[in-house]
Amino acid sequence: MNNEIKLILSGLEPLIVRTDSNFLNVGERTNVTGSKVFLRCIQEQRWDDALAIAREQIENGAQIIDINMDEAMIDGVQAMTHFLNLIATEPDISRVPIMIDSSDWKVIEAGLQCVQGKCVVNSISLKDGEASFLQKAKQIKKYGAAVIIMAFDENGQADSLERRIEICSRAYRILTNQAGYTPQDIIFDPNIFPIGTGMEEHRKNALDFIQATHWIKNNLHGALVSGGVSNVSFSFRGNNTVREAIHSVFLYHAVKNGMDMGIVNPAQLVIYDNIEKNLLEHVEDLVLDRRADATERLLKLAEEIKPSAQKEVTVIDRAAIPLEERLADALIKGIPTHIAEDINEAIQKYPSPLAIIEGPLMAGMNIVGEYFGSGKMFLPQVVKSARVMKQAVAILEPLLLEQKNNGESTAKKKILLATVKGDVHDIGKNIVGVVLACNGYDVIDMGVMVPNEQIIARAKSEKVDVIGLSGLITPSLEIMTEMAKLLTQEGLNIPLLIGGATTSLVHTAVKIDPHYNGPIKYVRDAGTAAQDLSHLLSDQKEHFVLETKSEYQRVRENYAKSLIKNPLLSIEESRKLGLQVAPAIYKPNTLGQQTIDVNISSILSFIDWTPFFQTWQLAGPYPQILEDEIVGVEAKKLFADAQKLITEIVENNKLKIKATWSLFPVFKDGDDIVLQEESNIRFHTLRQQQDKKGRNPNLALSDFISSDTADKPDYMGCFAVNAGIGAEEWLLEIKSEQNDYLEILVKAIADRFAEASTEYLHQQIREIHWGYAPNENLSNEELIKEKYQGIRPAPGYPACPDHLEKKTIWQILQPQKEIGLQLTDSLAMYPTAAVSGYFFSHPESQYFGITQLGRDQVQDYAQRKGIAFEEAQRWLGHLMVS
Amino acid sequence: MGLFQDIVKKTLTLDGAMGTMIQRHTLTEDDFRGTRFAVHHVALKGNNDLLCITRPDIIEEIHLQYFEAGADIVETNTFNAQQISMEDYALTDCIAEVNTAAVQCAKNARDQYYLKHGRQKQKYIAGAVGPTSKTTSLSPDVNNPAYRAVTYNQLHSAYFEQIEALIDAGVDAILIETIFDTLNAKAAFHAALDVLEKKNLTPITADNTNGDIALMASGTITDAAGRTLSGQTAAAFAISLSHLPLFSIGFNCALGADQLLPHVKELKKHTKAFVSAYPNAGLPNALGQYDETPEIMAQKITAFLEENGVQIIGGCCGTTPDHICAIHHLVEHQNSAS
Repeated sequence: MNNEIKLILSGLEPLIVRTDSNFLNVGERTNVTGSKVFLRCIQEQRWDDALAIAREQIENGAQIIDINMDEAMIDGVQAMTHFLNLIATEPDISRVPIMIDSSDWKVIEAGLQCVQGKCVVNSISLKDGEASFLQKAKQIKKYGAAVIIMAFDENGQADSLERRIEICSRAYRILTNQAGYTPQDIIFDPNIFPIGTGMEEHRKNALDFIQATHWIKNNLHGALVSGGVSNVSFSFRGNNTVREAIHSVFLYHAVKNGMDMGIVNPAQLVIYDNIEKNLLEHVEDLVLDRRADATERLLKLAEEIKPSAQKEVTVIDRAAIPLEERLADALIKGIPTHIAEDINEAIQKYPSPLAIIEGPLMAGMNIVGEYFGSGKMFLPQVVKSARVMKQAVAILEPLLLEQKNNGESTAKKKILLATVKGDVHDIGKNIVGVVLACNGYDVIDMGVMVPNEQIIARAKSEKVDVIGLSGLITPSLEIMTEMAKLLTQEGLNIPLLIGGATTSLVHTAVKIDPHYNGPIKYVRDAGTAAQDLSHLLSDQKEHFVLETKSEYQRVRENYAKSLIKNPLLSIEESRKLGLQVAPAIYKPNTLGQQTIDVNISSILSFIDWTPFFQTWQLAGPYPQILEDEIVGVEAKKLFADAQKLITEIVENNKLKIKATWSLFPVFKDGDDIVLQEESNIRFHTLRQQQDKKGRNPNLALSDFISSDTADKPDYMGCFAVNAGIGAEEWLLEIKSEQNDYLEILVKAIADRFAEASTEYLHQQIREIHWGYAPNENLSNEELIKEKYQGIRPAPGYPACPDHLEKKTIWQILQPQKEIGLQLTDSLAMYPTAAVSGYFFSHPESQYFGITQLGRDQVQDYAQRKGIAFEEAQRWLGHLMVS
Repeated sequence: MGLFQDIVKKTLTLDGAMGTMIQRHTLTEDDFRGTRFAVHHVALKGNNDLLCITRPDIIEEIHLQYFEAGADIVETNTFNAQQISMEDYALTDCIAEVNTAAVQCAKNARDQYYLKHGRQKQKYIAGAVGPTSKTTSLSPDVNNPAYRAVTYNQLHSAYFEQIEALIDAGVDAILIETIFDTLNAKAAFHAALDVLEKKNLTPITADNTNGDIALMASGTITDAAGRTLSGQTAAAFAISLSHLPLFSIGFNCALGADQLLPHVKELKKHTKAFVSAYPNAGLPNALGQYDETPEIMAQKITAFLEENGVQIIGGCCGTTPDHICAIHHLVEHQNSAS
């Protein structure tokens, strides 16, 4: 029997009180009628101080906190709502159950509408009759609270044992019979009145309460007893030693008789056994009404006892704790109390306000992020931490602004947040918004279901620094990918943050990042958002971006490897799932082979310089790289040398470029492409075999040919470009001079020439020779981003990974004769500054990757090519999945 | 026989995901609009609940598939069919219409099932009520932690309207699900009780088997700390709803079966109602898809049934009729054993 549950309440955590549990302390300080300090906090709207009082009570052992706003000059409904809403965002307070204390029903109901846990209403009574009592009781039950019943009825407050019994038993009957209450939710307050007032009729006040408690516990099964304890010692105001002794003695006896809980100041309770013997005897005489002169005797003793000194407060020597630890601690615990002084100290210590934010403050927030990720903190705690961060940043902001006026750049960065089209989930996004705003960013929140076009328009008009996309449902992932494509089309490279429940690092790396040249960062949670942003917008941005991009590259590679575990589709199935294109046949203006000398000056504008710098391990996009803080100087020097070299090449005819190509009629036969006029020549294409679950086709290059009959052929082309003519002799010359730098420079430039010539050639093909896009008019940047119709895949690269196919191109074009380009035994091109490949024109033609091949396809491929399986395996084995 | 009396003897199977099944049809804006909303000024694609009106054929078919897979209870396609969520689509005047159409879809599916298989196995329809898109326990405004985007009374009236429409249309249960903020749920159940009171109906509970409507609650544990979004532990969640005459309480969504189990165990300690669970088909993979197979999921579900006495079991995100079928086989096995 001694372990039965007698009361169950909850805040963020449960409070389960069993029959053998100790007396339950209800904190009394958050009560405007009982605490002048709290009253002033509320009147002066010092909510942080009011919250501190609530927090302090819990730290001192209150297991429930009583909240009362009943004061004539306070709008009780407004104050109760405001304070309870604040408490809901303070997890160290809201973890305990709330007691909503008011004599005004409106205030009680307002309170009940703000509390998610199972709370206690304090109180209702039969004062206004049974009907009103019952109606309120039923309402409270619908809100899911326990209730305290004051021993009060139509005839007034119960002031004797008999009246207490009468009222409590009547209320108990009504609640259990008519309002459906379980007794565990009924708590009686049989009135604690002062003793030692000198009035005869008050002598038994404590004793009556104790006896009423005894009766209730024995007769009203399952109900509990509570009371406001400090009332009992009211006559001894000003003498805390005596008051505390009275409280302890009173509680000692009341609890022995069954009192379950009470409203007390838990910091002001002496232990019964520690009360000085003489004082104890005097107090017990009074409480238990053992002598007629108990009051006089205690008053006399009280005069001899000095009021107990102010309780010693444990003073922690904060100065002994390192500043960084104090800041981190404030952020992790979400305590703003000392943040101002600590930040001011930091201002003295750190070189700049930014260094404080990026140093100790971010370090603290990082811990918060980690704790959240590992389940050591939960969301409301994180939000609280973010608020402390905001206060810290707010102190630093004027200084940041000052520096800005002094020419140091610290403009507030603008972050645009939106939940993407088709998705209405925004709670996570809102939290990120809160956290970012707390970190000093200017957050523009476009809300939910925002179409990509609107996001882009707003991003442009507001000139935002970062766009953050959020989504919870799976289709949102696709929308995010579309957004990346759209941004690319718009030529923007605003950093993009990706977040939301279904997003992931892998999805961002595999599905979104490849479609966007700008920085993309997957944001795991609100905790890491601020951290990622600070990197993304810092001076080290380029490095962070590059690091991220290469991380994503690794993720993609690992992902590709992980797919190997997933069984591939058979080649037959994959073929059925190929892309079915609508016929789009463009007859070329000029059919057959042509060979040209490419004028270097005509291709200079086609050079994509970014890979040139990559050759030198200098990371970053051109032309921004020239201004990069870290590598900019080096990049500029290199670029100047390259320009000088190009001038020399042009002036002294050091290099020559030749290209040859042919456009011809073809049709497809399975995965082969057959030349209409030389049907013994076929291109053998390879097909993707991953199980894409019907979401995307399993592509092969042959899919881009509209025709499968020789009668009505489609067209394609192949080409070879040699930009290394003359390079050999020159390089030998350089080698003899032991000029490594120049050697690499020449090679790198020749490579760029080969690529640029191919770009140039492809444009000429599209506009003139094939002529399917006569009025294209694209800038070099757009060309680099492949914004034209048609593709030019090269054998040995992802869409057609088999180098053997180069032999077919050599069979058709004879590049060794036409442009001096050899194919080595290992099927590499020589000179190396060369490109060879195919031209496809179909509007749906696209680049793709063959990452895995089934054994069945390699066998099939070998058969089609008429080579041994082992030969095919030699060239394709690295892609084969057994 | 009264509603849900079979639970005394057996475990009931709940259906699986609706959204996952709808996604299989690649629907266009026009599908969502139909003729009914052809000229509506806001884009409607993604508002799945509307399909009850504009593509009832699809919704009915999905319900029927779940019945055929062995579900004893299907949930109406009404997760977002209340004022607060529909406001995003400017459709706040269509609440009753959507809910009524949704119940009709489920009823039609049930009629088809009965026609084919007879009425030996009783099939139930639970009106699904989601958490809305706003929360009463968290502030969306950084500068004002006391601010709330929605009040208890606003939620109460939104829920009242939806629940009344569902009950009028003839559901057997109200399932308030994916609860991430218990205060929202308290408002929802408050409204449900008020609807019952208005219509003089009584709730079905383990103690009152003659009631009219079963009230079911299902929360969601969202973070690694084992808390709801609003910060409550599983125990606190159960206690905060302990005043209600619930038929069942449990958890759904956010987690796969194995991650959900400890929370369901904890919950069971704090309730007298039947315990329900409908986890996701595992955790979403890197590309946001749920790829736990029916066999693997069913295997994990075993632990819910025997040792831990979960009496209503089904699936949430990523689960399909195949998953429900696999789970149902388990349930049947257990039902015949006991």
